[in-house]
Amino acid sequence: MMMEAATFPAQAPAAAGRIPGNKGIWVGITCEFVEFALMFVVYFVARYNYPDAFRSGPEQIWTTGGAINTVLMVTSSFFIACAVASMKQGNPQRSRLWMVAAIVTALGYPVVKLLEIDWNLAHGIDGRAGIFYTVYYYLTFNHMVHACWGILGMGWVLARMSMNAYTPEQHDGLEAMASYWHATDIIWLAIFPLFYVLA
Amino acid sequence: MKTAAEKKPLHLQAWAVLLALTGISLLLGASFGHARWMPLLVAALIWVKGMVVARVFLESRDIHPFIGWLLRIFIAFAPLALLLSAALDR
Repeated sequence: MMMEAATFPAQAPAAAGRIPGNKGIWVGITCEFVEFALMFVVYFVARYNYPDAFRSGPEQIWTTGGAINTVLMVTSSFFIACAVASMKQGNPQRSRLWMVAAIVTALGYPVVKLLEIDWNLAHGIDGRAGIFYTVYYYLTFNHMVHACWGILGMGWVLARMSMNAYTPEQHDGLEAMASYWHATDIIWLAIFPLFYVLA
Repeated sequence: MKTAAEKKPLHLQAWAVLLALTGISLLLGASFGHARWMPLLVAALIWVKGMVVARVFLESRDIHPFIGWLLRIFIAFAPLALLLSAALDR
């Protein structure tokens, strides 16, 4: 018995490190990172082959829309981090309020994105306007899809919070959702300067 | 290790830093968009902002090594590719 206990420890040693949320969400986040890394390869290959299109492209798109979406992504990420911190502190009520704030802020993202697309189309910028815009739509649409999944997930987590499903000791679902949203935020923080800042 | 109560001011600071860096990048982009050093600056900003989110919001300091490496590699990917494309710029 002692031999078995020594060979197969019941728990991983503390030095192995913490897994925020659960393993499942990190499989999903790894897939998300691989998917966007491939899209960044597409961006840089296109940028290398069509440097002029990528120098002039950012001047045509709605920079204000991109900036507002950056503020919304960063702010909702901050709110969801506060929701996790409040839950850990033993304040589920406050955690729920932070989560509501995170959802409301995050919902602004697809709204502004739709306004941006509307603005683009009014200025003749569609997916066939040039290689820069094709890659821009390809990457930003994909990001919006990932953000919408995140918003749906936040709605689910809020519903679970309303049923008192999370406690200060056990809130893996909340932390998994927060991890996904932070990962989606990290991706946007790379997309934003590549399309809206760098000329 | 910091408690959850101690982490909230840190979250607020990280949020302010992320917004400030976004504002700075927009101002520099509008003023020096075509400068040759812009890709270097933008690469640095992407990396710093990604690391702030990972370190503060995701608390990556005490995270599992696989997740830590995953974050480090992904956050460095776009900045390194940007530096490479700037070096190969025709």
